[in-house]
Amino acid sequence: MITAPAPDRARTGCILVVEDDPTQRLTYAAMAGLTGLDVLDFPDAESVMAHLDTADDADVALMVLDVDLGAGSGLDVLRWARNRRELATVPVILLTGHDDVDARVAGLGAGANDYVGKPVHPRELRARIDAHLRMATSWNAVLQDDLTRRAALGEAVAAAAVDAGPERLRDVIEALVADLPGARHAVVVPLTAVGTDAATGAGLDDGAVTAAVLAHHRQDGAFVLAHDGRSLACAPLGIGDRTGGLLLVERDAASGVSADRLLASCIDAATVIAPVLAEHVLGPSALAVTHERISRILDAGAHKPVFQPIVDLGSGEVVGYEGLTRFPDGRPDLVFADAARVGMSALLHRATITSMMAAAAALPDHCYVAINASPDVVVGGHLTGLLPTDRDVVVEITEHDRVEDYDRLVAVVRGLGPRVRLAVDDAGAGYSSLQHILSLRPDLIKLDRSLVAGLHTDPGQEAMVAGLVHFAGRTGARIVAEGIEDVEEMQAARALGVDYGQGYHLGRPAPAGDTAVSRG
Amino acid sequence: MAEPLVACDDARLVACDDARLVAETLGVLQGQVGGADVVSMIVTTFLDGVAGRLEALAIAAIAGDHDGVGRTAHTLKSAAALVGLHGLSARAQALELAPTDAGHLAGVRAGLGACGAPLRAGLAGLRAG
Repeated sequence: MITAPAPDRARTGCILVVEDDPTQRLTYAAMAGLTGLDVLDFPDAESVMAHLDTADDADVALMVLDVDLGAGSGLDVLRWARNRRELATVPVILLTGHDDVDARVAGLGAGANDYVGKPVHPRELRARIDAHLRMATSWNAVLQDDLTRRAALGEAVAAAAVDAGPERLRDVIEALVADLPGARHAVVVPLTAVGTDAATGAGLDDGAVTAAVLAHHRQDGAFVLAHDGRSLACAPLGIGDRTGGLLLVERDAASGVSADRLLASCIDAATVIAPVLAEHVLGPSALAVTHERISRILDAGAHKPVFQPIVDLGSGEVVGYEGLTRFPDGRPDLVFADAARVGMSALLHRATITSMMAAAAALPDHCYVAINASPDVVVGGHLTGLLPTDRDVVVEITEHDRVEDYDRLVAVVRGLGPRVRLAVDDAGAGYSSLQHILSLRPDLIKLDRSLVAGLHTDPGQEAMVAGLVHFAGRTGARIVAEGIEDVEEMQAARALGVDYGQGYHLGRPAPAGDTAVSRG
Repeated sequence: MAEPLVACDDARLVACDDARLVAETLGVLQGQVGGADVVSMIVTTFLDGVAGRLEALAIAAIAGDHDGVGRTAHTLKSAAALVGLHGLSARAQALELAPTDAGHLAGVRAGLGACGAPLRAGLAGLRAG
């Protein structure tokens, strides 16, 4: 259990009373003095500002400020104070004989915390002074608690880095974070596992969690996910200028700690533990290993292109091939994710596309070759000069990828050459399907496997595919059904007017010389 | 030509505040400011300012400075209420709202001139009580 030393919550600082009338000034000063704080009183705006300007350490706990000062206005003092860092949050009670709505609004708008009309009832003013001091003290206590807890967590994590060793550090850190108020369970998720291990690691193996974590990762922010009556706070683990992983903290509903409060603790904890994790778990040593692995793949040319046929469902003829890459170890998507982590994404893309295009020379000339590329790679100009001019090429942009600037992306693809076309991949699987498609205006729309699997048995899927076919017909796009695995799915797609098909039923990915096609 | 300033003990002045009400207010004030001595200082401060307030009113009235009359009345309104001179406070408020009204001006001046007795009586009651 992380224990924090009790903060010093004694009130400190002084109360300033600014009032031009001597009787009232003396009364308010005497009243304020009963709080136990020192009181300084001033008859006008000029004298209080001069004092605060010259005081070495103006520790002000509260100001009681008359609006109608003989010389100058209390509102001027208030505005002046709010522009000074040390006075910006000091509670200010305005006093005035003009107790109408406009005057109150003006006072509060100038930065006052409270407003008391004259004649002032002494008991009321005293109660308000006490209330504001109490609130300020409470906030200071909360802040102090947070800072102290953060420091304690930092020390515990640093000690764990020495005592537990890199192998157990992640477990120890998770246990420390799970000890925070309101936390029931904590998980550190390295970036490469985001979207997969994140959900299972948090004990919430569910597509909604995976989707939310993916969305979070793309937005690069912190959030609370409400799921099945439980709350999960999620914060990025920043390493330098990138996100090295995520900290997930599940709320203990019985703790009485709100989800927002837990999120604040989660963000705080992520800030504290990220540097330690960076050094021992996610950081240079781990990154160096990844960097070396990607370099080895590139140096050895260990990436092998394979091609999967795309078939015209009407004629049964092959119209194109999707180029894919196989690596000797690891799933292709994870290898590309690792490359992105170590800043080698563009290099890997260029290397794989170069070898893919070289191998594609063995494919029939009339067939197009489709390649997958992320928006970053395309917009970054990394495809420039890699694509052949004597063959049709389709650039597939996955719907999962966030697109910052659609116009720019489309313009860059169109600028790659007259025989280069654009496709939206995985249509129907992402979060903003229709918007993505509308914005890209693709030449081809590739239906995600989830829309195609069991197409002949689900009227809802049929309706959605029919809608996309209709949309494609109106915009001049062609539809490709991905993941066709049996004859029923192929026939259903054909019956709905889908132009092309791709999937194990029609042909598995294979090296360029070995591609075989079943025409169903 | 403006009226001459009046002295606090002028026999013609009409008191507008009741000593018992003043004493009651000062009793409450005592609990809020820390004791009879502090209340005594507050009352003394008020009484010390009476001449200055009368003078300020007179100067402003002579000069036809109605804003000045209003400002003085505005301040007096709050200070008088604080020490229990609620009648004087009400007169000051009337003058603040109508600073050209000679009747209100005279009322405030009379109230100021007569405030010494109830304040002193109130203080004495506080000390005795």
